[in-house]
Amino acid sequence: MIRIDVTSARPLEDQIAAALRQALAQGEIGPGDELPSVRQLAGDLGVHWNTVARAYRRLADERLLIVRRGRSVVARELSGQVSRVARTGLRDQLNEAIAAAVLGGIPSDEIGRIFQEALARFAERRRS
Amino acid sequence: MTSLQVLQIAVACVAAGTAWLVVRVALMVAARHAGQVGAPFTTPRAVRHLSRATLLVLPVVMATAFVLTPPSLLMGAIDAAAFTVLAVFGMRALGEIDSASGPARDVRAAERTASLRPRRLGQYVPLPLRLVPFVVTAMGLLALGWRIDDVPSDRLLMRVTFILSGPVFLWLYEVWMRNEISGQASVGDDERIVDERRRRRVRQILLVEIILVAGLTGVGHTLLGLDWIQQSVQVTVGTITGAVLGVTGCALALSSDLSRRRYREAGSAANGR
Repeated sequence: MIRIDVTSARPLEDQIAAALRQALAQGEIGPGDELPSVRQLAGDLGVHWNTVARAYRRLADERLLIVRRGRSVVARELSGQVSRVARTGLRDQLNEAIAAAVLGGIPSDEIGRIFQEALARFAERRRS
Repeated sequence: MTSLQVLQIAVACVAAGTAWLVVRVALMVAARHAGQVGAPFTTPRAVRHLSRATLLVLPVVMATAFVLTPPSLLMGAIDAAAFTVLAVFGMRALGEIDSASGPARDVRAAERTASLRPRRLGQYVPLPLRLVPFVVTAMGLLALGWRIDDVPSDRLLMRVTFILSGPVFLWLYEVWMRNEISGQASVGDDERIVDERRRRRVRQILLVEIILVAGLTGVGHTLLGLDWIQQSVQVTVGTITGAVLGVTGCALALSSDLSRRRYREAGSAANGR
C-alpha cells in the first residue's frame, strides 16, 4: 500500500517514487514482483497517469524497476553491492535533514537518537 | 401497408426515440448510484423538457412516416431533423444529469492510498465466462460469411448492421471492464469491500455485454432469414428490437462515468505534478 498527500508541497511524482522506494526497501515488493499498471495506480491515487509513469521511469533509471514498454513493470533483483549513487544520495539527504533539524532547534544528541529510532523501526518493519 | 412503409415508421420511431432512451438510461444509472452511496439526487428539469419534446415530436414523425410513400427523401430529412432537435434537448439533459450526480461521484481527500497488487480482469471473471461474447461474436460472423450469398441483396446493409455491431460492442465493453478495474476513488473503504464491489460491477458489465452481443447477433441473423415483403411485422419488430438494444448498449457505455467515483481536489489530478 502506498500513500500520498495531494496538498503537500512535495511534487506528487516525488511522493510516489519515495513511497515505492520504501515499499521496495521494506520488502513489500520483492524482486521479480509485478507492480500495478500505470493506469491502475494513477486511477487509485486520482493523479494523471503521466505522473505515475514518470515516477516509474525514475525508479527504472535508479535500476530498481524494469519498465517494459506497453507491458508490465517489475521489481528488479537488487545486486547486493552498495551503490555509490545510493551512498552519495543518503549523505546529501542526511545533511539536508540535519541542517533543517539544527535550524529547528533540535540538539545534536536528539537528532542522533531520532535517526537510530527510525532505523530500528525500519528494520523491524522489514523483518515483519 | 407495404414492408417499406412499416420500416419507414420503425426508423421514424427510432430517430425520435433515441435521445429519450439514452437520457432515461443515464438517469437510471445516475439515480441508482446516488442511492447506493446515499447522496442526494433530483431529476433535472431538462429531462422533463426532453420527455415533453419527445411526446410532441414522436407522433408527428410517425404520422408523417405513415402518410408519405416510401422511399421518401423528405422522410429521411424529417427523421434527421427530429433526431437533431431532440439530440439538442438530450445533450442538455445529459449535462444536467452529470452535474446533478456530481456529489455522488466526487470524493474529496487530500491523503490517498493505493494497493501495490496488480489487478487483472481474470481475477474478477472466470475465463470460460469471459470467452462467451467472443465465441458468440465469432460464430455470428462465421455464420454471416456462410449465409451472405443466399441473402437477397435488397437492404443488405440493414440486414448485416446488427450482426456487425456485435464486435463493436464487444470492444466497447471490454474497454469498459478494463477501466472499471483500473481504479477509482476508494478513500476510507476496506480493500476487500472495494474488490467485491469491483467484482460485482465487472460481472454486471459482462452480463450486459453477453446480452447485447447475443441479442444483436440473433436479431441480425433473424432479419437475414426474413422475407421483407411477406413478413413485414417480424421485420419491424426485429428492427426495433435491434435498434433499442444498440441504443441502450451505447447509452449504458456512455453513462459508465456517471457511477464512477473520482477524486476532486484543487490542484491534484489536473496539474499532473
